[in-house]
Amino acid sequence: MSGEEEENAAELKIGDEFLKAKCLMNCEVAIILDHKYEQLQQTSDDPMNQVSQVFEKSLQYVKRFSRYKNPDAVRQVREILSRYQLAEFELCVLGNLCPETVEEAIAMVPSIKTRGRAHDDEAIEKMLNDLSLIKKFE
Amino acid sequence: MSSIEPFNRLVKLVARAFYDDITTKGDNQPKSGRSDNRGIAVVVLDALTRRQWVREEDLAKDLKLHSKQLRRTLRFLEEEKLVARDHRKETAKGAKIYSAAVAATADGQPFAKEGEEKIKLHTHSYCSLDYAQIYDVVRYRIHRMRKKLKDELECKNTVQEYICPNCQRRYNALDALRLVSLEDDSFHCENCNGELVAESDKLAAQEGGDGDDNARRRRREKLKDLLQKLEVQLKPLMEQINRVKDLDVPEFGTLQAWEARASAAGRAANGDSSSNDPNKSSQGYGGTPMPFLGDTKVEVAFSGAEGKQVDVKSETDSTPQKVLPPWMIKQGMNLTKEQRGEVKQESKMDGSSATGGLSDDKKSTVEDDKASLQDEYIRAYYAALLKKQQELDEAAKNQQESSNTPISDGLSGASSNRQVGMKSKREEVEGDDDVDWEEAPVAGTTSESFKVHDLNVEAEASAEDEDDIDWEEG
Amino acid sequence: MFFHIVLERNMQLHPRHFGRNLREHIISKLMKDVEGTCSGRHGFVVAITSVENIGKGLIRDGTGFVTFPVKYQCVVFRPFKGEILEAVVSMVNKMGFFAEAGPVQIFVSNHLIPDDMEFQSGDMPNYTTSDGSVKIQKDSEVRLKIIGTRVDATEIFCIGTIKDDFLGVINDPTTI
Repeated sequence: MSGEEEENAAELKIGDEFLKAKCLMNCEVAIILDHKYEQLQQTSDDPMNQVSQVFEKSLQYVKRFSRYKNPDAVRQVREILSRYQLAEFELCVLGNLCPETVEEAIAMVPSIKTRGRAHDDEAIEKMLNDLSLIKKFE
Repeated sequence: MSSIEPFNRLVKLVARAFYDDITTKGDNQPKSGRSDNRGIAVVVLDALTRRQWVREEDLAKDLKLHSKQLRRTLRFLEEEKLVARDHRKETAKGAKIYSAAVAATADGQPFAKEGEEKIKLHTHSYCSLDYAQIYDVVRYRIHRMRKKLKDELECKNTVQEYICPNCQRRYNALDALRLVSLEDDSFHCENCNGELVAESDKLAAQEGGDGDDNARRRRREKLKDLLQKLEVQLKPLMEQINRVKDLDVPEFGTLQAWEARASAAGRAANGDSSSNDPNKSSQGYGGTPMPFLGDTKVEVAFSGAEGKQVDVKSETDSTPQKVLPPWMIKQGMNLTKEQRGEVKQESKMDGSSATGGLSDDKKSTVEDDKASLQDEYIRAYYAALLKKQQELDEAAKNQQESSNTPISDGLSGASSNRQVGMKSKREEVEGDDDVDWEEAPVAGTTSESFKVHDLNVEAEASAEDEDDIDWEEG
Repeated sequence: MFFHIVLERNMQLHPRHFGRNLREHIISKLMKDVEGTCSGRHGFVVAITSVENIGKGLIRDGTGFVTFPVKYQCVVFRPFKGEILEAVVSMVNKMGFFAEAGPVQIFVSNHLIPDDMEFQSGDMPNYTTSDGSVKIQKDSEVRLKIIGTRVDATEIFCIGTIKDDFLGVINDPTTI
C-alpha cells in the first residue's frame, strides 16, 4: 500500500517544488549571507539591527557548520559532486556532513542506494575520496 | 451486479472487525444495561448491504430503531467514510420518484397513483454504502495500523507521548517547546501545571518494571505480539480485500442518478407493459426526460423474475466453494415455495432476504468449518424460526398480493395494508437476526481486533483493553 | 536544508512612493515584509538575494494603492522529515534536549537518545555514557535525524533522534 504520500527526505520525498529547486550547502549559504551582511554594513551603522533573527541565526549556524571556508573549495565541492548524478538535495547533504566511509554516506543519504540508481560502493568511495582531497588542500 | 456480493462480505467483515463496539451514546451516559447500543453499527451496515439507496426513515422502521438513533449511527458511519448520505427537501411527488425507484429495484409493480400533491416540503435523508470509498478507507486504515506498530517496534520515528496524571490530557514531543518549565527539568501540563509523564514510563511502572532494559524488552515483545495478532485477526479481511481488488466496484451513483437509473431499469424489466408506467415515465424532477433511459443495464439488485433467481442460484451451486449449508437451503426453499405458490413477482422483502441469503451463503462457505461448528445451534434456532414463520404464513398468504408494494403502501399511508407492512417488516428483522447468528463465528474471531483498532482511534475502551492501548502508544 | 528558490508576491504600494525610486521602494518593502518570516510550505525565508521581475502595477478599485506582482530569489531554510543535519544543543533536561539548526528548533526526547546515555542533573545538565567518553550538554554539536515536524503560521518545530547509526555527538576534532 503506497497511497500515503508522506514527506521523507531519506527517500527523497521532499515535494516536487523542492526536489527541482536549487539546494545550497551550508558553506554556500555562508558565502551568500556574508556577502549580504557586508552590503548592509556599508549602508548602515548597525547592520545587526537591520537583519531578522532568522538571518542572524542562519548566519551563525552556517558559519559554524561549514566544512569548507574558501570559496574556491566550495565551488570545487559542488563541481566534483555534480559528476555523480546526485539529486541536489543529496549533493548538499553529502557536502554538509562529509561522511568518511561508504557505510556512513549511505546512512546519511539512503536514497543514493535505492534501486535503479547506478551508485555502487566503489563509486561512492571515490566520491568521498575526492571530497576529502579538497578538504586537505583547502 | 456480479461484484456486489464480495463487497458486501467485505463490508460485513469490516463492520465486525472495527465497528463491533461502537456506541453512539455520549460519553457521560452510562454504557450499561439496556441503553448499551454497541453493535448498532454492525446491524446498520449489514442492513445496508441488502439495500441500495434507502430513505433513512424507512430504514429506521425496518430495523425498528428510533430514527434519531439511526441518524446518529449513520452520521458516524458517514464520518468514517463508509456511508454516503443525501438530504433533500421534497414534495410528496419527489418522494414518489424515490418510491418508484425502490419499487423498480424490488421489481414490484410501481405504485404510481398520483395523489393530490401537497406543496409542503419535507427534508428527507437517504443513505447508501459507498463501496469504492469503503475499499480505500479500509486499506488505508490497515496500512496505518501496521505502520504504527512497526514504527513502534523498530523504536524509530516514534513521537514520544506524554500524559498528565492529573487531568489525563495528552501531549506529544512536538508540543515540547510549550511544555518546558523554567522552574524545573520536567514538562508541565498547560491545563493544570501537573508534571507530565512519558507514556512508556508509566507503562513500565505499571508492569512493575524497574530496569530500563527490562521494560524495553517486554515492550518489544508485547508489540510483536500485537502485530502478530493483527495479522492473524485481520487475515479474513485482508483476503477479502485481495479478492475484491480486481472486481468492478459496485457504484450506485448519486441518489438522483440512481433513482433515474433504477426507474428506467424497472420499466425495462417490466417490459413497459404496465398501464401504470405512463404516469411516472420520463418524469425527472423538472419533468425533463432522463438521460439514462434505455441504455441502462439492469444493475439493480433483485430484478430477477423467478427464472433469474434460479439462475443465480445454480451458478453459485456449480462452483464447489459455494455449497449451500443445509440450514440455508431450508430458508431458500421456504421462501421460494411461498412465492411460487402465490405470486409471480417477488415482493421486495422476500427478494431481498433471498439475495441476502445467497450472500451469506457465500460467506459462510469460506468459513465453512466455523459455520459447521455452529451448524447445530443454528439449525435449532432455525427450526424455531420456521415455526414462527409458518404461523405468519397463514396471514401472509391472504395478503401476499398486496405485499408486492409494501413501500409504496407505507408512503401513500394506506392503512388497509398495514398488516402486510408489519409482516414484511417482521421478516426483515428476522433476517437481520439470522445474519447475526450466522456471522457469530466471524464476530468471534474478530472480537479482539477492535482493540487493535482502538490503537489508532482514541475510542473509549473498556478497562481490560487499557493495557493494549498503553503498550501501543507508549 | 537551505534552498535557493524563486517566490512571488503581490506588493501593495502607496502612491506617494511612485517616482524615480519606485523600484527601490518596492524592493526594500519586500525585504521588510518577507525576510525572517516562516511558512509551512517554504520554510524560513532567510534572505532575498535578487529581484527577478516586477510586473505591471494594478490600481486597486476604490483606493489609490497599486499592486505589483514581484518575482524574487531568496534563500530559505526548510527542514524535512527524514533529513539528517547538524545542530547545536541549546538546552538539556531530563525529558531530553533541545537543539537549534539555524532558525529551527529541534527537540530530542530521552527515548530517542541512545540507551547507554544517562541524564545527569546539576549546573550543567547533560547526557553521558557510563564511561564518560561521550557527553551531550549545552553547546554540544550533534548530528541528528528529523523524525517529525510541526508547522504553524509562523513557526516550524521539529523533533529528532540521535538513536541511529552515525548520529550523535560530532567527533570532529576541529569543532570541539
